[in-house]
Amino acid sequence: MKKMKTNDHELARFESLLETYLQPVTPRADFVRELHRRLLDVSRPSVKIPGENHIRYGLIAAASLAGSLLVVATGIRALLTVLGALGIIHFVKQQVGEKSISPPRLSI
Amino acid sequence: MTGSPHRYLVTNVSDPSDRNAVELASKGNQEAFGTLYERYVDRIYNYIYYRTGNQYDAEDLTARVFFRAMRHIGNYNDRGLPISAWLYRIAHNLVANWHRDNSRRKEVPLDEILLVRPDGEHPEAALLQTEEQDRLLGIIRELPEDRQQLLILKFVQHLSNAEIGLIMERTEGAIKSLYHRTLISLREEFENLKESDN
Repeated sequence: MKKMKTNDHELARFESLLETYLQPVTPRADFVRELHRRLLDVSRPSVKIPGENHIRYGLIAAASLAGSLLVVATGIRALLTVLGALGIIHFVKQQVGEKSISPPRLSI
Repeated sequence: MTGSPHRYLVTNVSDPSDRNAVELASKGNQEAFGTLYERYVDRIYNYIYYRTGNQYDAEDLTARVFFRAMRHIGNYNDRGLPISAWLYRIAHNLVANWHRDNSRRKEVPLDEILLVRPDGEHPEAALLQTEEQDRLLGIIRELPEDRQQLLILKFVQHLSNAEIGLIMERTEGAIKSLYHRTLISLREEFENLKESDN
C-alpha cells in the first residue's frame, strides 16, 4: 500500500514535469494570415455567366461556318483561276494554230 | 489541468456555431470556412509541431490539413463527432505519412522548443532544464503514435479523457487506461535514461 502511494506520488511529480515541458506553442502570425489568404484564394468561386455555354457554343459554330465558307470561296476562286488559265492557254494555242495554217499573203 | 488558462475547448457537434459553420462551409461559404480555420489553426499547428518537432514541417503540414479539409468539407459527414476530431484525424494521417516518408527521425532543435522559464533564472539551471526537456521530448517521440497523440492532446491541448476519446475514437475508460500505462512506461524510460547518463 505504501509502495502504491509512493508510485502515485512519483507519477504525479512526473505529470507536473510533463506539464512544464509540454507547453502550447504559438504559430507565426504571418504564417496564419498568409495561409488564411491562400485558402480564400483557392476557394473563391469563379463567376458563372448564365447561358455562358450557349454563347460559347454559338461562337464556335459561327466561327466554323465562317471558316467553311472561306474555304469554299477560296476553292471556287482557285477553280475559276485554273479554268481561266486553261482558257487563255487554249485561246493562245488556237491563235498560234490559225497563224501557222494561213496561206502566205500574195504580194501584188 | 482543466482549469489551465491554455485549455483548448473541444466544441462538440451540438455546438450551434460549429455546426452552422460546417454546414455553410460545406456549401462553399468561404467566411464559414475561415471561421473554422481561425478556431482550429492553433491547435492543429500545436499537434503537428509536437509530432514533427520543427516549425517548418509543422507549417507545411498545417497548411495541407486545411487545404485537404477545404476540399473535402462537402463530404464531411457528422456522425456525432466534433469537427475538431475530423481535423485531428486529417492531421494524424498526414503526420503518419510524413514520418513514413522521412526514413530517419529528425532531432528537435533546442532553439525551436518553447521554453517557459522565469526571467532571471540561473543559466546553469536553465541548461539543466533544457537537457531534461530535450531528453523527455526525445523519449516521447519514440513512443507509439497513439501514445504520442494522447500526451499531446492531454498536456499541450489540455483536453479531458472524454474529449480525447472522441478524437481517437476510443472510450473514455480506454483512454484513461492507455494514459496510465503510457505515464508509467514513460517515467521508467526517463529514469533509466537519467541513470545511464549519470
